[in-house]
Formats: sequence, structure tokens, C-alpha cells
Amino acid sequence: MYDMYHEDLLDEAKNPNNYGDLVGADVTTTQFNASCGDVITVAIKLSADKTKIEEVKWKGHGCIISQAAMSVLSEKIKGYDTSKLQELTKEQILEELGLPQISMGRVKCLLLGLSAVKKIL
Amino acid sequence: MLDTSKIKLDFPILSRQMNGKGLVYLDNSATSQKPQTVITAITEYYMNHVANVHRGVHTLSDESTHLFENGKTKIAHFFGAKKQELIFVRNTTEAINGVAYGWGEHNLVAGDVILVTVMDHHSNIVVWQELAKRKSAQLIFVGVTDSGTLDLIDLEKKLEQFGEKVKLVALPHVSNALGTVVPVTKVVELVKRANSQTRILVDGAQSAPHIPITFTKIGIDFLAFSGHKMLGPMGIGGLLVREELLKTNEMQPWFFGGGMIAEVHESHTVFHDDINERFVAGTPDVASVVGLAAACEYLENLGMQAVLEHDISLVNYAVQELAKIENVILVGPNFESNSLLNSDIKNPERVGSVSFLYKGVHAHDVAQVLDSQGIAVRSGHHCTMPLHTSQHWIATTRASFQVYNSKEDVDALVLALKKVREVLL
Ligand SMILES: Cc1ncc(COP(=O)(O)O)c(C=O)c1O
Repeated sequence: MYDMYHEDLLDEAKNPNNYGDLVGADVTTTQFNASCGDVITVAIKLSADKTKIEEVKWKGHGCIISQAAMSVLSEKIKGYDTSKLQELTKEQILEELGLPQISMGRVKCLLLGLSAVKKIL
Repeated sequence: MLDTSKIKLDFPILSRQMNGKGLVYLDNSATSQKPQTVITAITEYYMNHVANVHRGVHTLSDESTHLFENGKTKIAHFFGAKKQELIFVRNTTEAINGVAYGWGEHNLVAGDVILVTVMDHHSNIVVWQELAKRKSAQLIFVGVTDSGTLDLIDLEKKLEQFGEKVKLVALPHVSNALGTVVPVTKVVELVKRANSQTRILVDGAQSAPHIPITFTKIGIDFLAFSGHKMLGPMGIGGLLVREELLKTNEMQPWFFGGGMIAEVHESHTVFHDDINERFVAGTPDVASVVGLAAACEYLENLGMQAVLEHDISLVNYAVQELAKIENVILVGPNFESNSLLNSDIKNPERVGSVSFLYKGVHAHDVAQVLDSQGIAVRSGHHCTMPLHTSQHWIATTRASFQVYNSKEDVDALVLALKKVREVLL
């Protein structure tokens, strides 16, 4: 058993990046985790030609994994081409979080934010 | 208490190491582990007795048929039901669907009312939502009190309000999220007083493993259960239907095909004249029936009264010890007072499980830390989203018990819960 809850991960969840409201968002999406009631809402501002993500803010509640994952994801997708969002993978988020793996039961937690983000497409 | 040091040896899986520690399995409400006798019964069937039942003349088919029929007799007996009242299904969910299709489709009309409770498992909600849609019937929820018990006053009120429109009351015997025991006898009394024709379905998924049940005596019409939660194999469960409903055809087959027929003509079919055989469409899961019969036998050998007493002591001990942990907030009966429960064996308030919130930590994270200590619990809303929503709980952590669990297992849980603080807070 690796030490899953390492310091950086806990910190990421406790002090998440880009948490809050976004005034003048172009798109807002929400994703629920039906098995535990966790929820994440993502608000995004796009470039004038709608091809790039300019601003990201998010809100929600959930476990450490879902919150930390959304935090790193929100950093990663700033300035991102919307056309490339589809290519974001579970492995990339795990890497960002410094986790070598995750159990089947937690995959939904890990991907809650990503599912919300992909909904803007 | 049962002699768990001996009982544990009957369950091969319990000798496994989990993350470097001995496995402490406290996820029994989700599914229980299986004793060697059950595993052996299934293997033995597959090694020596396989043949299709009923239709064969040869010796092997005769053996298989005997094993199947004897198994069925044993299982029906375990529930204090007549053999012809037992219909095999895969699990509780399928049993409840069976009532919707075999009874609801034929007995409900537009405007009728189905009563369920806020603490029901999704299996006992979604099935009725869908039936209500098909029939333009209404699905009404009976509430739960602030102390996590069924709100009997609300039940009475709704029975009165909807009167003869109430065709079915479907409710759990034991809540899988709270451990609350629903006073079925009292419910039956209230329902029958309001309208003797109203049918009652009890979801016995969480009571069958812990509480002795005499189906013919409790005055209900349907009882659903899953074999896998009571030490039996996955893939087998039962629906008990009061004989009268089968005799009068109020309850009808909902699966059709071979086995359940008497005559098949191009223009029509005559169903089997045996009120129970009519419900056996296709080849049954003989091995699982044999396995479940072995599970019933295992529980009977321990004695269901002793099983219940054992469970109540564990639940009480867990409530007492968990209440002492800072940040742990128990939910379910008596959670405000955190006082010792009524351990009246005839009227237990809480059976099977203890659920709790951990201040400042999400249930999944609690469960993950416990797992690293070799302790298996469940986290989430345990398929009771309406209950969690009504109580404004996001997710809870649940420890649930079986005959092999001991006070030491509860101690291990308590110790590991203290670790949650160290790791996460
Ligand atoms: C109260 C209750 N009802 C129904 C079910 C569904 O059982 P199964 O999944 O075996 O159909 C469960 C299982 O968790 C339960 O606890």
C-alpha cells in the first residue's frame, strides 16, 4: 500500500486552485457522482474565437481525491485548446497528483471534475 | 456472543492478509463472506451431480432434482414459509421487480397509491417509480423521524389520507443505511386496520441475515431477500408470496417459457397447474440453491436467536465505542443521545450496521484510510440517496456485521479511525 494521502495531495484539496465564482462565464457545467452525492460545478470563460479556455473557476464538495483532482485540472486547462480537452486522460491527472495508481472504486472521484469540464464541448 | 474464533475458521477468505494486516471485513450489509460448507456444497454439485432438473429420466437428473427440491424445502423452512410460497430469483432487486410485474401490472389502476419510505434502498424505490409511471399511479413516501426510525404517525396519516387507493405498502425490515429495525408487526396492524386489502411487501435484504423470520405468521404478502447477504452465493435470492395470492391468481408469472407450462399450442398456452411451478421459467440455478440451502443450514446450526443476539451485542458495542471518538457522529436510532440501545431481543431497534459521519473528512477518504489498515467498510450513500438528501448528509461510512465479527474487530475499527485523524486532519 503506497502512501496515498501524501502531504501535497492533502494540501491541494485543502487549498484548491481556482476555487470560487467566475463573473461573466461563457459556459457552466455540473457533474454529480451518483454513488456518493459529490458534485463539481465548473465555470469557464473562452477566448473571443471560442477555441481557447481563458479563465476557469470551480466549486463543489467531495472527497480529497475529487477536490484535489479538480484543483490540478483547473490549473492545467488554463489557456488550453478546447479541441484538446477530449484527449485528457485519467493517467495525466494521476500524474499531476503524484499518484501511481488508484483503485476502481475511486476512479469516479478522480474523474468527477474532468467529466464536468468535458461537458463544455 | 458466538464463538467467533471458531466461526472465523469456517470462512476461508477471512485468513487473507489485506495491505499487510489481517482482513477485518465489516462490509457485510453489501455482501457477506461464505463458509466452507457453502463453497463445498456448490463444488460438490458441479463435480458430481450436474444434470438438468425435472425433465430427465436418468439417475443423475433424479439426483439433481432431489438436491434442488431438498434445497428449496430447507430454504422455505428457514423463512417459516410454505415451500410453494418460495419463488427463486437472483436477488432482492429481482424479487421486488417480480412483484411489480407479476402483481402490480395486474392489480394497479390509474390513481392508485404505492407507499414506500424515505429510508428505502433504491431497489425498493425505482421499481415503484417505474410502475407508477406505467400505471399513472402515485408513489408516496413515508418519512423518517429525527431519530432515524420510521415515522409511524406519518404512515398512519398517509394511510388515512389515501384510504382505499393505497394498494401496496413496500418497506424495509431493516434499513441498510441506518440499521433501523422497522416494527413490521405494528406496520401490518396499522395498514390492515386502514384497509385489509392493502398488500404489504417487506424488503428483507438486511433482516434475513440477522433476524429469525416466520413468514406465515407476520401477516405480510411479499418478502424479498438476497442469498449473498446471508452467507449464501451471489446470484440467488427469493421472493416469498403469501399462498393465497398464488391460489387466487392475484400474483401471476412474470417470466414465461419452458418449465412453467402445462400445454403449449400455437394459439395459446396453459400454465402449470402447480401454483409454484408456474413461476419457474427455464433452467433454475441449482448449484446456487444448493449453496443457499447450505448457508441456511449453517445459520440454523448457530441458531438464529443466537445470531441475532450476537449482532445486537456487536451493534451496541460499536455504538458505544464509536461515540467516544472525537469527530465521529453516529447516525441512525438513538444517535442524538449516543446512549446505549434497548437490547430487548424481542424488539431490537438497530440491527446489522452502524453508520457515521466523520467531521471534516469525506466518507470515501475515511474508508480509504481504513482500508490501508486492513479494514473493509463501505462509504457513500449506500443506495439510499433520498434518505441522505433528506438528512443533508453527503455520504456516510458504514461498518456492518456478520456472525464471524467480534468485539476485537470493532476495536480494530476504532483504532484505525483514530488514524484517520493523524493522516488527514
Ligand atoms: C435494504 C436493501 N434492499 C435491497 C437491496 C438490494 O439487494 P440486491 O443487490 O442483492 O438485489 C439491498 C442491498 O444492498 C438492501 O440493503
